[in-house]
Amino acid sequence: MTGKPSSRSAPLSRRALLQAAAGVGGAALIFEANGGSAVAAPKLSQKVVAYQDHPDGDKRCSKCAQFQPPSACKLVDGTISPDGYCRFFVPVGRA
Amino acid sequence: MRYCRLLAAVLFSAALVGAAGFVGLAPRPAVSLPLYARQTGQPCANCHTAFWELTPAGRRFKIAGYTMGGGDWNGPPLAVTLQPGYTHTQVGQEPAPAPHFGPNNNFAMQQVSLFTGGRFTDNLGAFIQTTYDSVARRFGWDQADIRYADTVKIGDHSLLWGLTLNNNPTVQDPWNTLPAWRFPYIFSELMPQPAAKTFFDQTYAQQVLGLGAYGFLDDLLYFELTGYRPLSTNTQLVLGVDTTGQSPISGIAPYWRVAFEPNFGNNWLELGTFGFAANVVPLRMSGAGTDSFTDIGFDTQYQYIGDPHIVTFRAAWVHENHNTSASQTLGLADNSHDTLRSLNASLSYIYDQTWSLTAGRVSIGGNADATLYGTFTGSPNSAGWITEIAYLPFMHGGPGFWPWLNFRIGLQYTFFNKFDGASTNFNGMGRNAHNNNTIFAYIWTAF
Repeated sequence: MTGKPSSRSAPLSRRALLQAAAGVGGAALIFEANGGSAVAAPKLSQKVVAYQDHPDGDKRCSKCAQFQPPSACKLVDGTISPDGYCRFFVPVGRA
Repeated sequence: MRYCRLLAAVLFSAALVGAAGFVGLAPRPAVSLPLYARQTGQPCANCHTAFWELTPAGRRFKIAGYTMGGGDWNGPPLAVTLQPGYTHTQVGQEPAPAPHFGPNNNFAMQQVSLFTGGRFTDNLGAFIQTTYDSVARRFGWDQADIRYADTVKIGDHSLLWGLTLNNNPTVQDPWNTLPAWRFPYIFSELMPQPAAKTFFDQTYAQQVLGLGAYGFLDDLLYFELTGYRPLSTNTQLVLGVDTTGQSPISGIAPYWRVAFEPNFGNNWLELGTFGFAANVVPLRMSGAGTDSFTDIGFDTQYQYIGDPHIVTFRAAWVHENHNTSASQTLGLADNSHDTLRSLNASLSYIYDQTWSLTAGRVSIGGNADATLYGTFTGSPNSAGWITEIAYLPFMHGGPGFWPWLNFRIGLQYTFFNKFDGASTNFNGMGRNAHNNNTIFAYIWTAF
């Protein structure tokens, strides 16, 4: 537990800090380049947003700004019914 | 000098944003806290029970790399928070708690923060905060967490995995039990603070850079391993960090985290464990080698998410083994080995995500080491209660002229049973623990 710090443990300089940030950006670039647009943003699970396959009064997925016809959502994973509803309901025009 | 730091912090943020923007290549709608509300088109209430506490959806937004969209905001990805507050202690402090402030009844604009980040690409996002601290009169970088996240299917299982580059152990954690995001979410910078705390408790915030990998399996099991290295003194100074009294990490410090979050209808339970270990150079005096510490803890969080009622219980317990042999050789500690244990637990009731009532217990204890802790009694023991009422008028959406405006208007009372090892005369000058009891009123503003 004792002993002088080795050269490998030298603190990170500004250059190393920016290199690390660039490294993450570069890694992301590689992932994006390999996966292209097929690498979609992760979405929320249906249980997290309390999704239900029936409307809540007048509120239904087909009237939500996040709905992507015929059966998808910008935010929620899986098959989405136009007549469904979840806590993330936002009326069209209010997103 | 201040302007140099300001420029450096802005340039650093711009470099990060610029680098990430380059990754995106094609022009995208600009993205953007209120930053995230604009990005997703969602009110604060969907990701926060009462900010900063996260809902299950908020946790997943974070784990997924701050990238989820859905909003139609085309402005710059920026947000601002202000923390004006008033602090009253039962008996004034001598000397005053900070230069430019009186012994008691102080107003302060504690922090003015500028945030940027959000979604850079479908899989790359960030939370980047720079802060002017008017108590310390210092501008610098604050919390920073840049992530790459993606989802893969493994048989019947779904794995949300990611990489995190951040500057503070626990800033990346999605639950509100660990130091970076636990209750109290805001506290007076001018109130008396106990002398002892664990290394895990924000000791290395903004002094380190960590790169880690994590996974969230089937929306149920979270695991993470991150390694932290110290930033050089010059780098910290450029970023506006106060480097006095630091005991920097030597080598790489591992941080690990495992959490299990089962869900039963509106009930969300989290059971977890975590740890952080490092060799450290006491007060940068390397002549006697290094000290070391290992902090291991357990936490739990329970949330009932109903409408209009929400209840949250949070608790975290940490045990620290601290090898102080180098400090002892240097005359900085009496013992060659010390231990600390800390507990932070709180219970909140939130009505309509507009009114929040919270009671919490905080305590720290361990063996005596007068030289290390600098207390009159030699003991690190402190304990107290914190109660708070807060009003958040715009969690469901702000006023028409700026829908992303939000406030947390709060009144907080901290009651100390014990302070730096004693209930009475803890400093040898007749001051009692109760004399440090503090009322803190604040208007935390976000837009």
